Amino acid sequence: QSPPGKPKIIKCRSPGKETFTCWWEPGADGGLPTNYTLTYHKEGETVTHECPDYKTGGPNTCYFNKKHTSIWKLYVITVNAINQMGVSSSDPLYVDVTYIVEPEPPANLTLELKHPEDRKPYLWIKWFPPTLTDVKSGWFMIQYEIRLKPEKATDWEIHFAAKQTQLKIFSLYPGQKYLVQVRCKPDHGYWSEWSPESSIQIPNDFPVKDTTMWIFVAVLSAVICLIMVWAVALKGYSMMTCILPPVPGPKIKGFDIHLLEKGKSEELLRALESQDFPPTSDCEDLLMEFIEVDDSEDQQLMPRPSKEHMEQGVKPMHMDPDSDSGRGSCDSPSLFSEKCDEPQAHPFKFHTPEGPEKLENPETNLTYLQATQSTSREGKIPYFHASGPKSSTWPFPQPPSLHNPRYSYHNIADVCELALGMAGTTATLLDQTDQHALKSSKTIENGEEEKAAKQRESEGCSSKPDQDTAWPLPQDKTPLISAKPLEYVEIHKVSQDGVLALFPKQNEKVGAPETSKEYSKVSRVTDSNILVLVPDPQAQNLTLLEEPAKEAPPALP
Amino acid sequence: MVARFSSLGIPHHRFPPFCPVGPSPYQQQSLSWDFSPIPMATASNHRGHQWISSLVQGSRLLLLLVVSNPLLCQGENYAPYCKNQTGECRIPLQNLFDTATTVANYNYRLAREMFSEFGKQYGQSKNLTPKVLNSCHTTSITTPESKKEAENTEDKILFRLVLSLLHSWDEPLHHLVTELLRLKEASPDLLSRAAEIEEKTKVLLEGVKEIEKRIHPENQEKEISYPVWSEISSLMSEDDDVNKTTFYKMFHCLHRDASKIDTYLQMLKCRYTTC
Repeated sequence: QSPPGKPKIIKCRSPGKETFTCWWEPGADGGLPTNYTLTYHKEGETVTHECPDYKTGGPNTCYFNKKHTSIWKLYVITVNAINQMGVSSSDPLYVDVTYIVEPEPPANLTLELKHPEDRKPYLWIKWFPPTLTDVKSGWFMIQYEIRLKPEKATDWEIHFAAKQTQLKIFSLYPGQKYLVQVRCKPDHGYWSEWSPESSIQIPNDFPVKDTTMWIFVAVLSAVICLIMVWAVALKGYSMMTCILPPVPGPKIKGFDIHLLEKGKSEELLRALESQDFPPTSDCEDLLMEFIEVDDSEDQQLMPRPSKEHMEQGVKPMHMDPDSDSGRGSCDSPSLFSEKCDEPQAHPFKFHTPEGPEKLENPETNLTYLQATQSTSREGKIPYFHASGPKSSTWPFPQPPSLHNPRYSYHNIADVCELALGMAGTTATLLDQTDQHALKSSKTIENGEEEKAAKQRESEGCSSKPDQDTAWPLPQDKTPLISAKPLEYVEIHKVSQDGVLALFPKQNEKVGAPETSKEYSKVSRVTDSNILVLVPDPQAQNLTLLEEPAKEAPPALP
Repeated sequence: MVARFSSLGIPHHRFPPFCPVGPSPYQQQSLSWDFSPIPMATASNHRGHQWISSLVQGSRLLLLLVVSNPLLCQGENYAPYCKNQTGECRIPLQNLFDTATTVANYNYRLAREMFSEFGKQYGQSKNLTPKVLNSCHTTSITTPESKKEAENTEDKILFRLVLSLLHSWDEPLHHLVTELLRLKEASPDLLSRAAEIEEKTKVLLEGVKEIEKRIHPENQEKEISYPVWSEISSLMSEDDDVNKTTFYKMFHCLHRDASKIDTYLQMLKCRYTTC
């Protein structure tokens, strides 16, 4: 048994700035019945008063009614616990009623769904000021706050309503049940508790125009995106090439890119030196030497240089008035020319300083097309290089039905031999690209490739072990081919990519050379390494007739 | 800004115009009264308050320049509520009351925040609350202290009370600002609030005078008496305790008087116009 413990005043609150209530917490009672009293005195007064009402507020409370409430005055409040053993007083609490206002929650919260005709439907929330607050006289200034949420949501949507007692909500989802609460706060005081929940069910057909518009916009943009994706997918490559054109690779005419790969600088420099770089389209400086295969009794291939033919560029194809259609003259640019004089300063003879084989028979020296005069040097090996338009004649063997069948055999055979003898010099007139030409010429310089070229050429000629019997082989195989007349074909021009345009050498019977057809398209390669050329319908504009394919002698790869 | 105005209960479209509204004999007074409460910020405890208050200063200056330029104002036809009125156009009483209560409420918030901030720094540790009892210099002004009393008080008296309170704080606020500048621990927020409340008190004084003239023109002759604040020496004291206690008392009394002014003006407003 001891004096009571010290009580403690919890708080004092006023609902409307007209009355207020204080709550205290009793301390230990000390084992004896304890009485609690509340005493106070006001600021500026000396008289101590006791609590006027202990009951209205409940146990351990003191209620001050209007008569006992003064605002703008500090109350000094003390709670005393008294028992038989003694008295224990709490710490004084200084209270100014003005600042302890905590109103009741607003009353009579009503919800109503409104559907005006010309405007959007909305939820109309109404409420009344809380009890015990005199707002009309201006004694109490209050502000309100509304919160609402769909029943199953977790977060509340809060709206501040200032001093008005109604609110309109427009952003509602149809088909949901909404819960609404309201609370208030005086100008100088605490927020009230939230009012009890009011609920309302939004019907399913509640029109929400905003959403439909946004759905429409979303669908439209999705469709547009799909169209764009489809367009990009279809034309993606062309668009990319339009936007980012592919970087052209290094393209030096006559330059073998593979040399770059190998990285052998010597060969690189040699290649650069020996080729026609920069490539000139001026044919006048170009020299070509031809070996004219004659079907006369010579039956030999004799080198005949002719220089001026190439200088004149494209030549109209002349017809040989005589029957040896395979023989070219100095006027007609032909690959193998035996009648023309030597060019002045150009070695038309093959020099194979590195090649192991040499031509023993000077007559069989073949001068192949020497395309580049400018870069020819002593010790350099001329090689075939087709650049710019030039004409040349590739003597083709004629079918046995025509003249000089035997000659044709000889021609081929000799060509083969000579080709071999030349250690793989290129007779790649049918090569469509300069790179190939260069490559073949490189065989001379590169011992390994040289042998390979020789092998290729030997293969090409392998089908003709016998001069006499060489030719008929292809004919036996393909009757179709035999049906086709074989003629000499002139290389009419070489296009810029190095595409050879071959024309049949005109007989006296055929018309103007302009109407000749270009044989620039290789239709196939037969087993005996014979390239079958067909006129390229795209390359020529004049004739659309399909001609029977001309057969070419086996071309060196 | 607009949202804040609505929160204070003032519809923003009803603000008084910038320009003088006609050849009124009270033109000079309405001049300074009109534009002052417009650029207002809430006295909430955040850093933006400083910026806003400096903006307020600047905008006030600008408005002063604008208003003083007669070219910009077209006189009678400028104010929107002057359209339907014939003759001399004056600001409606509703607008005057609205502005007055807005300013009074704003001042109260400033005072509350200043008191709270200063109290956190010094009040709790030393429990200065007992020392503030009966320490306000304005206690001599007998004011109604319950709703009933206030309701039974006449308007004239209420006006007098308000004016007296406002006058009595004129000088103390000035000293407060001066001494706060010298106080080392004073935060910039505190300083800005003190400066602003000083200015707004002057504005409110003019406004209430204007309203009283409108309602009770015969009261102009009476002299307004107000208590004098005499604690300047304690405020400037070198003793830290004395110094801080005086500041605390000032903040407490300012808080209370601002609340009184706010309430009385609200009651007057509800009597003459809509609440």
